Amino acid sequence: MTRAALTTRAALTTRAASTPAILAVSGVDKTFTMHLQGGQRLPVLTRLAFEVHAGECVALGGASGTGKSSILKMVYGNYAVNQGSIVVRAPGGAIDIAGADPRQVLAARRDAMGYVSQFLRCVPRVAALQVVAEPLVERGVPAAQARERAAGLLTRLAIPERLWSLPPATFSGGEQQRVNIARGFVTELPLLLLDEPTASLDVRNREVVTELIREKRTGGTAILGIFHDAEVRDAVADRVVPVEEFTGGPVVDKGPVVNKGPVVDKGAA
Amino acid sequence: MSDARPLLEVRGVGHRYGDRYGCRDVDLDLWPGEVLAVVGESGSGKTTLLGALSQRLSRTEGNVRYRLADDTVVDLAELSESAVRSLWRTEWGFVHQNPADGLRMHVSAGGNVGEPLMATGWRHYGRIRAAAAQWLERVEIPVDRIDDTPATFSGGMRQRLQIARNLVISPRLVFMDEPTSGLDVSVQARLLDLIRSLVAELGLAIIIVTHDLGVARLISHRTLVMKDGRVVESGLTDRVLDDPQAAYTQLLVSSILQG
Repeated sequence: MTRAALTTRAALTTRAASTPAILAVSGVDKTFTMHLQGGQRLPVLTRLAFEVHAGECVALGGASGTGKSSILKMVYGNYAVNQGSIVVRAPGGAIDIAGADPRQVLAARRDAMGYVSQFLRCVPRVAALQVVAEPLVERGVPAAQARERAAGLLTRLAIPERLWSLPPATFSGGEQQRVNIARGFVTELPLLLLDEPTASLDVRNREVVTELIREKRTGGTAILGIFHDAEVRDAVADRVVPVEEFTGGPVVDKGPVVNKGPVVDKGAA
Repeated sequence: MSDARPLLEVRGVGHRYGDRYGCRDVDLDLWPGEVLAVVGESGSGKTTLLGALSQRLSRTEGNVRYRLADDTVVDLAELSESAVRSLWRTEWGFVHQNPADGLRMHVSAGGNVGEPLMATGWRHYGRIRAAAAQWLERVEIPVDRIDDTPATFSGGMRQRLQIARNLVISPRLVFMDEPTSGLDVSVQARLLDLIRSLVAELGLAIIIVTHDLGVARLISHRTLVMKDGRVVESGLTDRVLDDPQAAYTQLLVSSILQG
């Protein structure tokens, strides 16, 4: 499918309905067992189910503490899954992250999904430009080309060029977050996971990130994100998965809900 | 990491000191290009496991199969001593916690790096010296120190020299025993960064024993948690550290000082 065919929302919706989901979560349970607190069990999610299709941005909605970040972490293979399946459609075939071995998870991360965490985990001594270019180099893009793309993103995100050769450990919180975003957006992968990408950003940078997200979506990337900022969420999300409906516990404050696209397809899988 | 078969296949490995097991029932696969961290507190059996896998200790039970450079798979217990020595010369490396255990302290830095090459048949002095100089540069040791002995080096430099001495033969598998724990924090970071980039460049497989979860997080793909000689948890490193399942791993992770 060409890019031109993807430029309208209508085309995207049609496509979303007719193609297999890039991400299909179904029947997922997550319980934390706290062995240091006498084995206390903390159920977080039960029977979680939703899908994300190509060219679609889905927001995880709900108050903090409902398990939104845990969902992103389970999809990325960073948290274990107690039950259910999380199928990610990678170019080489579908992988159930919930039951995959470490090498399969690493392969899925390399070939199928990017993740922008809330905080940049700094590697000591590595320059910002290299931090951003690294995901491309690891995937075989020539170093010069990778640096060029990294530089382009850092420029858009208003990181001054004099900082590019410095390790981000010494940057301000907002600068680190923008480096983190650049690193997450530099690759072209089928699925992108975003954990509060605009927290700690000023208005101008928030707009840039909103624009970057919309570009990814238009380009056919499936996006799953947590957006506390209602304005950003309204601008980028096609629909919201109300996470508290899967918490099994009492429903807490639902927060504002956008409802732009079809109703939540929690029964679809 | 796309090779179809593991480099090392470990099944039911154990080592006994008299009546007591140092480590027991260990299963693992290691693939080319993969860094496996073995973590646990002192006395957990991690160094014993490293010794048993690297054939430095006799194995009491289990077996270890290794895929040679020519793709044939051998059972390490069945190899002759000379065949194992040949592996150390051509395919394996071992980085000790104390650089003095892995270096010749009164031989020049260039000699320390050149010696393994001579052992594999290099004869041309100029070429050996050039290769040694190149490796000193790669591990960030000023080339003008090539004729100085490691006895005159700082701890961090010695450790980097030990790494050069190990990697100069382009090994396929390197065992590391707490390679950073004797170093200052800033020197540690530099060494870890160096190991990280060399691994990515050379595609070698590493088994690294460390008590430092930060080290495991920074350079390993997978982590094995040991307690009382047994593996209590294993998996993708960030999964093991961010969502530990075993009681002992939870204790270990919660004991980290937040910097």
